[in-house]
Amino acid sequence: MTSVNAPGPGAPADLADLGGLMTLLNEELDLELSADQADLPLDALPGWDSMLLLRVLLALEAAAGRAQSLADLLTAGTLRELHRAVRL
Amino acid sequence: MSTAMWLRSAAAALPGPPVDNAALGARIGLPAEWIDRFVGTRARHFAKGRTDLSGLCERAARDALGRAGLAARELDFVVLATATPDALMPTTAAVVADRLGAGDVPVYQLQSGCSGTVQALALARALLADGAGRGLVLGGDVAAKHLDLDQDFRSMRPAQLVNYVVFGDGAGAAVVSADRAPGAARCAAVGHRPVLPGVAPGQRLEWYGAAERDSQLPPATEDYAAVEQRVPELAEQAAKEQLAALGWTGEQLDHLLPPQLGGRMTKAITARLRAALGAERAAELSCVADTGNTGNALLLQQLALLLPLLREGERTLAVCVESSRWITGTLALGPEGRSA
Repeated sequence: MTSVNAPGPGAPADLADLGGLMTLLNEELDLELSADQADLPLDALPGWDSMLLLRVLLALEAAAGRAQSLADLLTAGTLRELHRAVRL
Repeated sequence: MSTAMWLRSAAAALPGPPVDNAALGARIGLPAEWIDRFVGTRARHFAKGRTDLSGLCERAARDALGRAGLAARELDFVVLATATPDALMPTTAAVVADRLGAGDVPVYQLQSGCSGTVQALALARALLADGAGRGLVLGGDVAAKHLDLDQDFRSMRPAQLVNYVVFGDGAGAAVVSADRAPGAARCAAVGHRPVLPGVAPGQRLEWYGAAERDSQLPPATEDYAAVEQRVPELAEQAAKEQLAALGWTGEQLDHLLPPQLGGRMTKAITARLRAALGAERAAELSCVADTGNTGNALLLQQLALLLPLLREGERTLAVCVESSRWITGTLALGPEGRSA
């Protein structure tokens, strides 16, 4: 397991970095994700469901400025894998 | 209740062309792929006008009356079930009856959700038992006034967002009578009741007056997690209770009309009902994947699909669950007498 910088409040969303992804999701979707959740199964995260996945996808598209692949995102089992699936 | 109710015809009316997921997704900025996968509804129809329920009901009614070979003047009552009347007054039921030329008979309007058509059929049965000969049962919804397509869906709460991908507009009609007619289906049972007293509603639809024109209340919200968890359980419970009350078995069912929420959920509920009831042989009649969730129209749309297929002596069970106040409804069509 590699380390993850804890997302700081107000930090810019840099999707190249897993911490940046968490910052984006925390700010845009009003979540409270923390670095120690990076490798937890997504289903174990509070409130994680298909509707939240949709909002994640929309937030990623807005931040990355390009379409994201739902199929790719669905292969992710953790936040770290989700970050790898993001099209930058 | 001794008087029989015979279902003589049913028809549906949908507005405009179907809107598929690609078109809906492009319109509101959501990925069609997500709707395909997680809602499982392929298309829906949207009314152009925001007060078009009466027009849809009139179309469905004329079709149902034609199929039954009856004129509107031969009706003894009209009942309409809806959550979204065109106006609070006059009632949409009265407007439709007037347009049909049945304006001088008792007209009733039920404020209801997905169990509304069952409620309307139960009322119709009571009216037939009270001496009426023939009646028209209507159900439908036009959700357009509650769905603002011009907003940023990225910031919308999931409880609101889900409504945009689940619902569609439509209406249905059925003609019922106390006397048997050729090809009519016998109503063996019709019932409905709230089943989760004290539990928070799963769906809420607001209405606003002039003093609340700046209301920040979301027009429509759904506790979709509660719906997804409870509706399958409640559907199974209601189906088992109805079969037991009739003395029927699941194996005897020829047709099954399951609750219509979205294509994916209805598929899962149907599989659950088949297994729980032993109704593997029953043919499923569903419409939601192609029409969206049209609320009070759904059961009438299903009946319009069923009646041309129904043969003498066959047994049908329809189940619906209204998540707003957790009301289950069942309709059974079939012969008299308990099973062997």
